Amino acid sequence: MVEVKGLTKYYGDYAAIEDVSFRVERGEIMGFLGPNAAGKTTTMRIIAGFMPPTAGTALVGGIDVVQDSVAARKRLGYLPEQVPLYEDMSVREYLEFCAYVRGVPRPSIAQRVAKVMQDTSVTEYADSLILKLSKGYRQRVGIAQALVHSPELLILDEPTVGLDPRQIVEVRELIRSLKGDHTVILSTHILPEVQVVCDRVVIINEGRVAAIDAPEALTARLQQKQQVRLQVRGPSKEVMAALRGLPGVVGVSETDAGDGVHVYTVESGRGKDVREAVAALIVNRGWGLRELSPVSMSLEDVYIKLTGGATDEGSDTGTDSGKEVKA
Amino acid sequence: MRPVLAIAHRELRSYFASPIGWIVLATFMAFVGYFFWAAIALAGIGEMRMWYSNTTIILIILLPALTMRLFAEERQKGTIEVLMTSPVTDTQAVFGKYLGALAFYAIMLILTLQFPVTLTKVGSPDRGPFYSGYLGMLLFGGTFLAVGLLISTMTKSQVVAYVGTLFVLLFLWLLAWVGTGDAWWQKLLQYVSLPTHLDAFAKGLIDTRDLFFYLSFIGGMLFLTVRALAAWKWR
Repeated sequence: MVEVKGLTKYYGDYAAIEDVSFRVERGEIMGFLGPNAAGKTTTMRIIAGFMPPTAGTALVGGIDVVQDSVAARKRLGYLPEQVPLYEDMSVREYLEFCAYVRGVPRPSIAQRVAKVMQDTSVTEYADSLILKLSKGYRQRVGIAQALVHSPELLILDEPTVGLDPRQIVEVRELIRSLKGDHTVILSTHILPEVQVVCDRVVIINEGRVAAIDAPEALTARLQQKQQVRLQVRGPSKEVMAALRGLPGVVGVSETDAGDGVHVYTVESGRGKDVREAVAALIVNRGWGLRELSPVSMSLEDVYIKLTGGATDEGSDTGTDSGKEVKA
Repeated sequence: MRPVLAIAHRELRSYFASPIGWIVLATFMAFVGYFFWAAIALAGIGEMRMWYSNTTIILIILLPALTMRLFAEERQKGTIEVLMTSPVTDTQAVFGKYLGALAFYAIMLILTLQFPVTLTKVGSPDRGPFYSGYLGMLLFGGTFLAVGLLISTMTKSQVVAYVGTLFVLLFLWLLAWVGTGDAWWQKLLQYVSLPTHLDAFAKGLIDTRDLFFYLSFIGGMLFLTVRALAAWKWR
């Protein structure tokens, strides 16, 4: 559906993106992941036909976005990052305008507008001025606008930014519901979003593609070892020694959680699950086992590795820390 | 054609949805009403010729307020990204915006038709200069709008667009003053000055040279606007 080859864009002497290439198959949701200023917006703007690249080509459904820009633009809907809307119009008027400009046949405009308002749950605000809508509803109107002419390709630039957690879940569900009928490219710097929503990920950093794969494949590829986290009440030195003595265990680290409880991180080789052995050991020795959980290497770790952020190998036990990664 | 009309329609209704449209309309009506009344009551002149030239001065101040938002606001708010990723060519966008502003200006003019109508009710004036005069006014304002549209593509700030347009229009206006005389350069300045060409229309004369001047001026400005928009995207 989308084929990007050697895309390069210079702003003066500054290269926003360099030699970016990837493909997006029909019906796929592709996540475009990278720190701020990595070149996500630039790439999306070029695919959307908003501005031409300095070099390289982008095809939407086989149509070059520069050579035959209008034909390519007919097949896509685009939601820019800051959700620009004509605020002096009502939701319905705005969507009707968008449908009309994008060539939806006149008799079916009202029906299309009603459909997208329903899909994005903005029907109850159909006749409110956009000016008066909250951020969450503006975002929905933005998505409705991109969908109104039922384009094959949807390009969403940070569609969940600035929303509250509930709205984020709703928008993600909405995007997932588009899968199959539409091809979606969405950019984000929020990692869990990619894991939840996307079929494939393009990780971009400093204007270059760092990796392209399915989220699970990416994590698996970089996952060298398995980790188990456990909380035990008992003498830490003895526990440490006993854990180290288990077959398959390659490393143990320990932190004091207070009140006689210690938290241990047990590392084992790839493909060696030591959880049952660890549990049996602790129970047999009469220590208090309070928690035992696997720590999988998250996409976050992959991302930090690939984008050259602060890596802190070994001691990183959490999967939910630091969602925002600086460029 | 369809995107052009869609954009023009949106622009037109946007004037009526914002204070700026109503302010321009009210100010315009107040001044032109005064000009019409003053010509009859104070000077005893029962014709439109003076009214045309007086009105042009108000247009210099008011028309840039109509054009300042056309592209500047879209750039500032980012809505231009959605517009220009729709299947709309640069030319269609420019023409749509221009037609929207021109339609609003036409409505302003239509509201002043009461003046010539009043004159024909109370007397029996020659109607020819009314028709030619209004055509001239439409073209004359049309050149202002085209200048304003061009300048509006060059900035994100509506204030800059307004002041810039006002400055350029004043400059084009004053060329006629500098060009008073018979030397070739003075005649050239006369020719390129905008109000010079309105005189014949006001007298009741539709000269193809004047028509050509205004239409080519508008066409040239719109062409530059399309180029400026493309250049901005390429930057």
